[in-house]
This record gives sequence, C-alpha cells and structure tokens, in this order.
Amino acid sequence: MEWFRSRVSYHVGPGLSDIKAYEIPEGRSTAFVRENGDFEENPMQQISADFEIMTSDVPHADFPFIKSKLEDSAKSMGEQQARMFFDTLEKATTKTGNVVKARGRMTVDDFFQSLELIEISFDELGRPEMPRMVVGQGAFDQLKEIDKEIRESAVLRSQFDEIMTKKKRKWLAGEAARKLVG
Amino acid sequence: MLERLLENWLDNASERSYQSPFCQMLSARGHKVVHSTRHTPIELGKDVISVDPDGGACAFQLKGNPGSRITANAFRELVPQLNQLVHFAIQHPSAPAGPHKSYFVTNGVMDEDAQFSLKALNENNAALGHGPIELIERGTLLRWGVDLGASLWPSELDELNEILNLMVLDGSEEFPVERLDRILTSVLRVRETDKKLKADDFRRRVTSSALLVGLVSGRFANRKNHWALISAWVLFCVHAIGASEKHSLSYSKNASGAIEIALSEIFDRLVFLFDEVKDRECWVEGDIMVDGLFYAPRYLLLNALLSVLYLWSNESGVEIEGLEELLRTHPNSSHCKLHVWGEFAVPQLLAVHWRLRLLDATTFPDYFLVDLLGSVLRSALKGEEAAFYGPYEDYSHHFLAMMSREFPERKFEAPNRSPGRVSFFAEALLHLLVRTGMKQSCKNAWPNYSRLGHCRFVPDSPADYCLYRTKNGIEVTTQVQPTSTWGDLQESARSVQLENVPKALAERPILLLLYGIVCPHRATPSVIRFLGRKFNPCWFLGPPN
Repeated sequence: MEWFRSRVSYHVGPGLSDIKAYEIPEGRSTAFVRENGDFEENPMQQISADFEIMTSDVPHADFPFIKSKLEDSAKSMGEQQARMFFDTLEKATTKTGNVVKARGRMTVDDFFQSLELIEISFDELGRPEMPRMVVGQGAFDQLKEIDKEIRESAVLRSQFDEIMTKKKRKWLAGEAARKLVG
Repeated sequence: MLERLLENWLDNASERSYQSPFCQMLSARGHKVVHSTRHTPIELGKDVISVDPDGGACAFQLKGNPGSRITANAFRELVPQLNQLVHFAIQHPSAPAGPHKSYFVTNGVMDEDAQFSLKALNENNAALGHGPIELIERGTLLRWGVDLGASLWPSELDELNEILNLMVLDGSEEFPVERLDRILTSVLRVRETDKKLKADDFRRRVTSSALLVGLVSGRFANRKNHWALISAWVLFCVHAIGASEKHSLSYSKNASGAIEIALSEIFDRLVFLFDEVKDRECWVEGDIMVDGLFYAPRYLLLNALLSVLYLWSNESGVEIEGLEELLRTHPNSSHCKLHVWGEFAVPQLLAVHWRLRLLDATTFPDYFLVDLLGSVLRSALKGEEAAFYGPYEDYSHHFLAMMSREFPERKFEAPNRSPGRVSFFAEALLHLLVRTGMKQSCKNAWPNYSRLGHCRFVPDSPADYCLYRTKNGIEVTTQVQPTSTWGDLQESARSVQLENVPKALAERPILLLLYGIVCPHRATPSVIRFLGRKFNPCWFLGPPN
C-alpha cells in the first residue's frame, strides 16, 4: 500500500507531490468562508483506477507483471489528482481575476505581473516566504532565462526589489491591522 | 449464536455489571426505574426500585453469582439483606407509598435447598403481613434478554464480527467507540439507507442496543475500566437520542427511560472512579518505566472526569462526600500540572475550567482560559510539523508522532496533521474569554487569532450530529477579518444557539459535555458557547441570544 501511495505521489508530479495529504474524516464537502464573507464549497471528489488481469495472464503473472499493472493504476490516479488540483486552482483564480496570460513566450514583464498578483508573506526575520511555481518543462526553461535576465540587469533587479518592498510594506500593513479595536 | 453470546456474558457478569442491562430489561417490560444507583441516599437492601405497569412499587436485590449456584448456606448469609428488602418501606420520593413487591435477582441458579429456605422465609414474612420475595434467576434473565435484545441484534457477518471483536478485548484498553458506533447504527437503523421505524419497533431496538452495550462492555466492567464504560454508555445515550430524531419519534415517550438508566450507570462509574483515586497519593499506573509517556494525558482525563462529576453533583444536588475536598486539596488535582497535548484534549480542559470556576472565586480560572487559548493559538501557528493534532486524533496519534520523532529509523505511521494555521477550538475559547470581560487578554490574543482559519463541522441535521462520523455535513473553515471591534466580538460571544444539536441533548448539558469529551469533534463552537453559559455563571455581556 505504501509503495502504491508513493507511486501515485510520483505521478502527481514534482511540486504537487510535496503537498502533504491529510484525512478529512467526515462530511461531503469542505467550505471556506473568506474575510469578506464569500462562501466557497468544495465537494469531495472521487478518483479511482482499475485494472484487469485475464485468467490467461495468471500463469505468467510474476512480480514485474503485477507491478506494471499497479504502476499503470498509480499513473492514472496521479494524473487525475493533478488534473483535479489544477481545475480547482483555475476556478479559484478565474473567480478572483488572478490570471496572467502570457502571449507566446513568457517575458520578464509577465513574471513581474504575476508576482504583483500573488500574496507573499514574510517570516519573523522579515524574509519573504516565496511561493512555489509549478510549471511545465518549456516554461521552466523560460523561467530560468528570465531569472538570468533579472540577475544580470540592474534595472530589472531594482524593479524586482521594488515589487518585493511593496509586498513587504503591504504585508507589514496587514500585520499591523491585526487588532481588536474599541 | 447470539443467544450463546448472551449466555456467555450472563455467566461472566458481576452483580455490578449486569445491573444496568437488568434495569433496561425492566424498563422495556413497562417498569419505570426510579432508582438504580449506589450513590444516592441508601435504600436499605434495595439495589433497584421501580414502579411496575400497574403502578405498584417494586424493590430488587441483585446478586452476582456468575456461572454458580446459591447453596442453602450461602442463602442463609443473604437473609439479613433480604429481610431489609421486605421489611423496610421504600422511602424514594418517586415511588408510590404503601407496600411494595420484593424481588431477589441472581444471574446464577438457586439450589433446591436454598429455594426451600426462601419459601420458609416467605411464609415467615407472610405471617408478619409482608408479601413474598419473588425469585428472578439466570433462566428468566436469559429469556428476557433473548426476547428484548438478541432477537434484534445484527446478524450480518460484519456487525457480528464487530460484536465478537469487542467481546474478546482484554478490557483494559480505551473503549473502541468507532466499532460500537457501527453496531449501534445498525441496531437503531440510523444508516442513511434505513427506513423510518415505528414507535414499538424503535423502543425495542433501544432496549436491544442497551443490552448489547452491556454485553460488549462486559470485560471492561470486570476490569473496572470506568472510563471505557462511560465512553460506551455516552455513545449509547447519544445514538438513542439521534435515532429518535432520525425516525421522527418522541424521545421522551420512546427512549428517555433507557437513557435515564444509562445516565445512572455513567454517574455511578464516575463515582467509582472517584472512590478509586481518593485515597491514592500516587496516580502512576502499570509499568513505571513507560507510564511517564501516558501519565499526563491520563492525569488530565481523570481531572476532567472528576470535574464532570463535580458539575453533575452540583447540578443534581447529590452530594459526593469528599469530592470537593479532593478537588481542592489533593496534591494530584493541582491544575498547574495539566498539559495540553492536542486539540482532542480541549473539552477535557474546559470541564476542568468550569469546575474551577465554581470552586475558585478568584480570577485564576479566567487566566486558565487565557493560557489555554494561548497554547492553542501558538501551536496552530507552528506549522504542520509541530502543531497540535486536531479533535479527530486522540493521544495514540500524538504518541506515534512522538515516537517517529524520537526514533526516525523506525517507521511509526503517524498520520499527517492538517496543514497548519487552523484550529477547531480557538473561536469558542476566545468567545468564552470575551464573556469574562478580559478585554486586554482578548486584544493580546487577537493578532494570532486572526492569522488562523477557524474550523468547525456542520452536520446537516440533529440526527447526524449524534453519529460518530457522518457524510452528511460540511467542514467549514472561516477566515476572520484582520481588524475587528470589541463590540462585534461581544455580539458573537453572546450567542448560545446550538447548531443542529437535538433538543433532548441540549436538555442534558452534562451528557453533552461528556459527548464532547468522548468525541471532541462534536464539541463545536456553538456547543462550547452553549455549555459555557450553562456551567459558568460569570457573564460580562448583554443578555445571551
């Protein structure tokens, strides 16, 4: 079982597989009430995979054979899980408008624009807790180039620092607003 | 098969452990049981007092003779008690005045010689104008049990397997409430697909499930595992209440008799627990090498249960001699040693807090609450590796997590915690604190409080609330605004409305509190606000709404 779980996790994909799963012991759905009172309900969704072993396969069904069958199921479940994750993410971002559409290749501007849209918190020493980006191989290569561009250009670096300073100011203001008044 | 199980239980049950099921059988036979506890003013020679369907008073003397015979010699030793049973009038306020019927009950068998002695005793008493002592022995009890209980027990293999599994447990462990839940939901027909029952059938099923609880908790009773028995009977009471909701039947007409008997049993078990600990200087148990790992949670639980007993005796007016003194002075009842090991323990700490509030007129109990809220908030902000487990995870999860931390090379399978920054109890604790008027403490707690998501499970109906787990409901996480006003917070804290909790349960705050201790995930913010109003007379707000 442990092996199967780890294979599902592998097929969910890098980044997502690090997200820890935990059990929701009861209920048909979870819901989130936002600060502004918006209510979002997320029904439980089922993922499943099945496999078939023909009676004619049984005489040859050794460990590698069984493992390959289980591997197929794990792959299917991992993919369903990842799809479910991105569907939920897309619904949420579409609703809030937190979407940046790169036309063709991703540019530094697209990257900065996406940084502007996300919320970044800071630890007690004032260091940013940078979010993780989940991208495909193509976008990953482009991001590496963007990172290089920012490092090599003083203008872009100061633009980046400015965004982060703005983020920190916003976060500090948010923290300062955490109070009970009256 | 089920009859054999019943027989086996009866042949191993002590007097104490079959008293409650016996009362349930009496109740199902139309008696109103008015006294079955050992801890109210003593009714001489009478373990159980009831009013029969004709309105006559009945007194029962119970003896445990599991799997044995009462000989003439043994009977002679019982004669003084039996004379008390017959000669002394019943003084109980709920029993009708005048002569009563007397019964001698044993789960063993009486020898022929002993039966002659009983006959002679009856003739003697008749000459003095008293009625006879009637004998209820093993055979009669078995017949009643089969008629009222076993015929309705589940015969499906899965449930039967659960019954057998419970019966073969050692009896020294925690009561597996999840397994009992599966059996009770089957007998009481409260599964989603079950159809509504008619009143007659429902009443029989309530008695049947009570007998089943007696049966599966037999070994726990023999081990005097009072906490396990309390858990089992609490679950029975709550399921019976929930089932009356599910079947849209009057609780008071169909289930209250059985529940009152079960509550007497719970009360007795709490008193037995008190009797056991009151003279002990040291509360260490079992293997001294490892007890340190379990001492703190057991110590907290014991304090919580004694606190419940105190609240109960205070509410009912039944004084438990020495209880208040123990809670005030015993070196082990010091609140300073209480340890919050997870959110599962919060209802236990609240029971202690409410008891402290009744016994201590200083602000100490309020600061106890401040500390508790602080611990919950700090823990939730620590992140998923160090945060408390939630209310669904008992000490065994916490223990496994400790073991996996200490011995990383061994693979202890501790479940993952929820992903941090959430709490099921912070909201209720803050509201209780608001009611004490400690504004500055609330202001201090607010920044951390506002960083968390506040979780609660909202069942769809009162019947769902009474289940150990249900699919019918939503887990809601609320994010509060970073800035709020004291006035708004006071307004929220004033609420004492329950969210989908059966009325019958709301009328029994002690049972509701015990349910919260056995199943902490049911101690929702609305339940805690409601109980806080019941148990804490301090209220620095406008009238409750």
